[in-house]
Order: sequence, then C-alpha cells, then structure tokens
Amino acid sequence: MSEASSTLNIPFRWAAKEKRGDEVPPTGFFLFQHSQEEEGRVVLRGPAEKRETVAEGHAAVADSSVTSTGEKSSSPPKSGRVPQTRLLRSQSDQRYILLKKYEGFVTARGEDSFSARLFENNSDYPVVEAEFDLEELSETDRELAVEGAPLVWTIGYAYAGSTRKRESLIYLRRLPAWNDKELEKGRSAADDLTRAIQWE
Amino acid sequence: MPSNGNNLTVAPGSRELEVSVFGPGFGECILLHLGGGNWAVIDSCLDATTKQPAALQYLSSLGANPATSIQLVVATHWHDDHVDGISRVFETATSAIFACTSAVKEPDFKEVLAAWTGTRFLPGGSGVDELHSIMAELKNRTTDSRCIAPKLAIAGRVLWPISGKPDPLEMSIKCLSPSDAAVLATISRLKGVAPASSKIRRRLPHLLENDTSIVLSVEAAGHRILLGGDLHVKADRSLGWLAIVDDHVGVDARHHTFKVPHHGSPTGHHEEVWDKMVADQTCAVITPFVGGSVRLPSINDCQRILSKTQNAYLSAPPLPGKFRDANKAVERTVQEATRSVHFVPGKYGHVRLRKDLLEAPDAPWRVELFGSAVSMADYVRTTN
Repeated sequence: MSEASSTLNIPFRWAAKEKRGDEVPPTGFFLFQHSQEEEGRVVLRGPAEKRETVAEGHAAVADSSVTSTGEKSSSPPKSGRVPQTRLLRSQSDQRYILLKKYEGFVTARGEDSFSARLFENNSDYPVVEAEFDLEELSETDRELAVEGAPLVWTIGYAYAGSTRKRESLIYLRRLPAWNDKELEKGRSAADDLTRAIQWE
Repeated sequence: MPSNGNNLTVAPGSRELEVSVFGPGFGECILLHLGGGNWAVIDSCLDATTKQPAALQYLSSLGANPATSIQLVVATHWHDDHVDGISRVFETATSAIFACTSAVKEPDFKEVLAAWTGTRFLPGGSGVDELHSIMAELKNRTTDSRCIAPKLAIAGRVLWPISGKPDPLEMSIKCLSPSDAAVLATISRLKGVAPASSKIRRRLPHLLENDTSIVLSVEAAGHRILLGGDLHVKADRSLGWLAIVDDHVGVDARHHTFKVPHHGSPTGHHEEVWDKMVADQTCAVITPFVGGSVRLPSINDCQRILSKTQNAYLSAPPLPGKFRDANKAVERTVQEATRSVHFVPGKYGHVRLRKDLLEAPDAPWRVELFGSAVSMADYVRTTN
C-alpha cells in the first residue's frame, strides 16, 4: 500500500443540535454537531488507494482531520479515536436503474379498479394480465383509464443520494387525437384493401 | 370413459368423424374433420409454449398439409380470444374459403378497418390486426385469380358443402346465427366504434358483441354437432339463442355433441336450448376463459352443466398461469402494486372426439384428453 496521502475535499454543513438532532443527514454532506450552523469543507486525508476503493456506504476514513475553509477550524477529537465517518456520496446521485418496462392497454374498467394486458415485447405470449386499484393512478389519469387506453408501467431503482428506493410508476399514454388527414389516409388504405374483394 | 391421449399423431380414418377442441384459457379453436383428410377450422388460438396456432400445430402433428387439407376457416366473431392467429391459419391454408359475419362488407366496418393504420403501433396490436391481415390475404388471392369470395354468415346459410370441394362424409355445416336483427344491431354499433376526428386515440374495443357470434349446426349421416360460439341469451327473442330456438321449432333434430357457448357462462345458457336442441347426456365440451377477475366456467357453471350431462369435458381448467419474473425485485413489486396478476393463457389442453360415420348417432364418442384437458366431473370433484 502506498504511503502517499491524498485528500478529498467535500462540502459539509454544521448543524445546530437542537434544530437538527432528529433529521436525516442531507445527501452529499457530512453532518456534525456544533453550536451554530455553518458551512465549510471536509478534507479527508488517507492513502491514495483508499480513495480509489471507496465504496458507497462503507467507512472510508482511516486518518482524517477536519478543517473548514473559513477562518474557523476544528481539531481532531481529543479522545484519540478517529471517528468513523461514512462517506455517502461526494455528489448527489440521481441515477435510475430500470428493471422492467411494460406497455399495454386497459381491458376493463371497474368502479375502483381496472385491468390491463401488459407486454414487454409485442411478440410476448403468454402475456401478463393485471388488475390494479384505481388509486395506483394519479387523479388526472383515472378518468383516462377506459377500455383500450394505452398505459406504461415502469419498475426500477431510483437513487436519491445514498438511498435507493424501488419505484413502480404507472401512467396512461396521451396519444395525439385522430385528425381528418389521418382518417382520410386510413379510409383510402381500407378502400384499397377491400375494393378487390368479391363480396357475394 | 375418456382416455388420456397418447396417440395424438394418429390421423382419423377417411370416413371417421372428429371434433377437436383446443382452449388454453384465453382462446378457442375447433377442428372438424370433413372426411378424406379435409378439415374445417373454427376460430383460432395459440399454444402458449410454441406460440403456434393450435390448428396448424395439430395438423402438422397428424402429418397433414394445412395448405391443402384445410377447406374452410370460420371466424365466429372478432373477439381477441377467438381470432388469435386466425390470419396465419388462413394465409397457410391456401385452399380454404373464409367465412365470417356479413357485417364485414358494410361501409361502417370499413371505417373501423381504416383505424388500423393509426393504431397498429400500439402494444398488443390494434384489435383489428387479424381482420386486416385476413383482408390483405383475400386481396392477394383475388390478384392471383385464386380468390373465392368470403362466405358471409347469416342464420339459415349453408357454409358446407362448397361446390368443387371434396365432401366424402356428405356433411352439411349450417349457420344458425347471427340473425338478421343481430346483423342490423351490429351495423349500428359499429358507428360508435369507428374513430372520428379529434376523438382520443385508443386501441379499438371489441368490434362485435357476443350476440353476433356465428353458431353452427353440423350434420353427417344423422350425427349432429352444435358449435355454440360465444352466443349470448338476450331478452329480445330476435337476438341470441332465443332466435335460434324459435327457428328450431318443429325440427326434430337434437344434437349429440355440444360445444357449450361462451365458456359455460350463465350468459350463454338457456334451458330451452338444452331441452329442445340437445340430446340427453349429450357430449359437451367447454373451453375456459381467464381474463381480469373473470374465471369461466365457475364451479356453479360446471354443476349446472353437469346437471344436464355427465358427459362433459373441459379443454383446460380455468386457471391462469402463475406470474413469475427472473428478477425477484420485479416480482415483488408487481405483486405489491396489483390486486391480482397472472399470465394468460394458462394451461393448454385438447379434447378430441372421434366416431365412425357408420356408428349410430347416439353412440358414444371416443373421448381423448390431451395436455390439461379434463373431465368436468373430475375437475369439480378435485376443486371441491
């Protein structure tokens, strides 16, 4: 292991104990207890390899000191124990990992529920058929959930800083309304298709 | 006694009657042996495993060539669970005549067809995909001078025999439905289905209601088979089963085999049909339906049918396929976000009835059950 040290310069905010004691630390910051609220920067010092191997949610500081970029500075704890600070993320994480995307259409609408057929690919067979509570839709989408309405359902992991949550998102697609030009084109195609058929 | 099928690939004799009913829980297909290795296909469904139309798969297993052996393809009505893969069957069956409701030649039907171009990109298709493909195939055949116009079904019309086609069993296939009134009702309903300018674009709803379903009466040497499609009972006696019952008055011709309409649901059941048109202890075959929270037939439906005949068979139990996903997080989320979720269709099965033409019409069929097919009495016993 190399002995050469390296630093990570990470913003932090001092948090007043009485105001913030019960709050979850904001994403991307280290939260320290202090009598007044101030902002500064945390400098982590450690072997160069440490920084490369930092993994999300793991204790990452072996030899650290904390300084603010202002005039005030903090000394290392006098107890001699180095606090195990968890490095969450140096920047806010907005990743979204899509696990599944279904498209489909509403097959039936009930008083407080609706059913839909869902496809990952158009050639899927057999297909998924599900019944949902109408409450799964936003208020504006509920009135759109009628037979034949196209819908999308995505399932994935959304990151918000150090937290990852599993999300299910269902919404109705808003397709452009029919227009005269398109209908005329369709009629022409249908005429072309049926003209040659010799009806009895 | 039915036998568990182990000789699926043995073709029927030249003068042997066969009715094969396939039904995986979403879809229905019936094959009728016309004699001499010729077949009629009524409706279509897919095998969930192979994704092949049941009719083509079965004929291939018998060693028959669908291009030359299928003589007639009938679409009883345009519900998704009856026409899945029917255009593939018809495209393959290059010798076949196509038959469907006479409403298709109405201008309003063309308006519905016009919507195909603007909805075909939707997941799950437009709902008129199969119809569009059938029309395209009919057009191709016209170009090749091979076309014979589609047969338009209406009560009283005979679909088989067809001039120039082989008919060794001297069989007749006659339409008992739709009635004139049903066709008129359909035409007026089509106006509400066709898209209009500035209307919200959606997948097209069911094109035709169950009361326009084609019902067929098959007869060969005194053997009679009633194929009930999805026809409902309506309060108006000019529509649905009661129109058929009224037309049947004075006809002493009970059917020895009954494909029970609409998956055994009460909406397709009427005492007069069982009392006046069907023989005692008729051989009844039912295909299941699984969709949304609907499961047909219910145990009550089965018990009602069993009170009419103990000789009843299900092509598969009305059970959906259990939903699974390789990703457990997805599986959990899907379960949490839904009231119910499953795969459709579920289990796939096949009921095969065979009988020699020379046997007495009331002689029992040789019943063979393949895949998930089951005797209805056994199904009720095990479910209870």
